[in-house]
Amino acid sequence: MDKETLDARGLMCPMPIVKLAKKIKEMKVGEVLELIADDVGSKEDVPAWCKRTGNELLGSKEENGTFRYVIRKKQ
Amino acid sequence: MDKLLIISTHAEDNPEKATLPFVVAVAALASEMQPTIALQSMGVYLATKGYAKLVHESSFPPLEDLLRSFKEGGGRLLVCSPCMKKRGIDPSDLIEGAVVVNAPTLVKEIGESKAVLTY
Repeated sequence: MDKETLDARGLMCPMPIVKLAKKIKEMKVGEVLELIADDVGSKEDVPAWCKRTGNELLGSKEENGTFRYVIRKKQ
Repeated sequence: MDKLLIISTHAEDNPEKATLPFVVAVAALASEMQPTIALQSMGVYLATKGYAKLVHESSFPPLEDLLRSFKEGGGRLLVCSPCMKKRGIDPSDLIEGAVVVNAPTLVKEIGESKAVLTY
């Protein structure tokens, strides 16, 4: 499946969520985005944002301090 | 859309506490909420022209950038009238979009908001 990518590494709070919201807004319903982050807080932040905005968190993984989230635009 | 009211009472006296309301407000805008920031006490300086660039707490984006994101995202900025008068700040000293208010407007905002935070 083709997916968009957003690299939010190095950004200071709240900019990762700001960039994520902007990117998702530009996408079509059903499209999938991979978000890459390096802040441990993203483990709580990204699911909370998805729940709040109605987007779907398809999966997440952590590897050597890098966090990857796969999100589907729902509405 | 849920409304959020954030009352901010700090400026250069506490750059971290001056920055946090804008961090939360910008995150709220990105989370489909409608935030209003009400500046009181020392916080009113943040609405004066050129002041925001003086505040940059480490580990946070510069306040000037957060303020720009807040305004561009549609955030509303209220400024306490008596707090301005006490400090000799004239409405003409304020940045574009800042709205001078007294307690009744704040009370109305409190009543309409889902949550009220104070810094």
